[in-house]
Amino acid sequence: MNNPRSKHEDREWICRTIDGDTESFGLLVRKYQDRLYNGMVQILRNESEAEDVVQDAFVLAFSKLDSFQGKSAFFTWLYRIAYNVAITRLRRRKRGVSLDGGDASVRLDFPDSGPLPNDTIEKREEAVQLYDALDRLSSEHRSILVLREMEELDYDAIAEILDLPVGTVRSRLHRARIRLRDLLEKVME
Amino acid sequence: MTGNFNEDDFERLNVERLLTAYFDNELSPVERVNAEAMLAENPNLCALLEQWQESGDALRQLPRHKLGDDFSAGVRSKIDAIALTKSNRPAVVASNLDSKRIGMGGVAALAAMLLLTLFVFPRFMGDGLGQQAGVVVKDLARDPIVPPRPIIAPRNSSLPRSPNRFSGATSFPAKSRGIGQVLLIQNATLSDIEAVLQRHAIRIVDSKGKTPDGLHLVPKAKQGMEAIHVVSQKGSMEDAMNEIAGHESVVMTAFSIPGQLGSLGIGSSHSVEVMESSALQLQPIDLSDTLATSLEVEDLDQWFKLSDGSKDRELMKYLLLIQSASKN
Repeated sequence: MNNPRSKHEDREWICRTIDGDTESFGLLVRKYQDRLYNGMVQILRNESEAEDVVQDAFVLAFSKLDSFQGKSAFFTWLYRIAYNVAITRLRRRKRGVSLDGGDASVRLDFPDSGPLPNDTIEKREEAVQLYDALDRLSSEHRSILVLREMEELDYDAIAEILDLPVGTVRSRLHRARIRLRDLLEKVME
Repeated sequence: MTGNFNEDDFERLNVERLLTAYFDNELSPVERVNAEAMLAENPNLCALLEQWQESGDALRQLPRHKLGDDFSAGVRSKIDAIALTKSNRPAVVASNLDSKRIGMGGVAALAAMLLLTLFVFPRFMGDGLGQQAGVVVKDLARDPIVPPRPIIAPRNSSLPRSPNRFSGATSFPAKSRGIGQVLLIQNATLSDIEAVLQRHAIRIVDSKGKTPDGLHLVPKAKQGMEAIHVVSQKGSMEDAMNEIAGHESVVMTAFSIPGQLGSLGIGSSHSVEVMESSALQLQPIDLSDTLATSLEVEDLDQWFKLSDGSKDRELMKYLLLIQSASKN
């Protein structure tokens, strides 16, 4: 998705949008909506909220598009906007935060319609356990794991989205992985 | 927190960072040699990397959540509405400018705009405004009606608790709907901001007048309550002025981080430092053009520039609260 051709395509659509062609922004929406939505679902652990966040993010991105300088990929810039909207929502959920730092009040249902990693009960059970562990992670740890493991973004992009130094990205990622491992061990007991 | 950070902590942090970056193939060749030497000496770390690989693979194989086909149509309708508003904006600005040429009184929106742009910013940002702006400041200052209210800084902050320490806030007269208070907070955390808002009984509302928990404050504001507006990232300065014009008393809150504004900006702030506004050494830009171009609120970044010559430094993160004196 971050190949030169894709970037060139993004750049062209952005320029056309700035020139007043909103249809071109629609192309950007269609290109990135599912990827962004999946990331937000994992961070927020709530499909409905994630949809709202993605919509807000696209609208914000549109209204601020002329400030996009192209130093980073469009998706990174867009993701940062969405992430900030999502974090604002997470902070409003103060009452739902559990003692171990996870958002225990919010649990994401395993998608029924989505294709399973493998059509076996065992694989499904593993995925459900992973969901359980993700639910118990703090939003900070969950976010950074989603960005690295699921979005497969490099450290620079993660640092930009989370507004962190790269060194902090490294150490936070380390702790998030350790925490996920511990939680997976716990849920599998 | 950093005071308790000892040598072992640094060592542990270095190992964590090296191991993680090695796993993610984000090391320089030299760092990679160091990481491989570390792994050779610590076989248990290899086992850890295998666990990470397994959990990473499992995460990548999770089913993807997808949006419905009608999603992009919903976004399109919203952005089309925004595009339409943007295309209509120059006509409204021209109308305001025409009113200004006719005379200073009678148009509340214009008065509020002038109060804000010519009254507040010059006082707090220093000298250096364009000629056009300077003349109007003098005209407004001749007719004080409501004395400015004192600024009370939140507890546990370094903001001035005495109005006398905040000379800019107390030296200028305010009219009805004039600006009575300004707090400028640099690098505030969300809790700092919440403390300020609580202290001043300020509620944050969005551009429609609703609080985050769904209360609608604007109608109450019209009945004499203080009206509070957060100028969101969606709003232009002109929109803000139009909103301000309809209320007895206004708190305008604008805050910015490069690339982020509004509540997003608050959400992104993570420094704990709170500074006095007088220490910021701000420098204005010529505002005379901003009336004509309906400057977006996000362009406040351009208004606030460090005067110490550190041009390469990141623009300041700040919260600007502008509170009008009550008409009552």
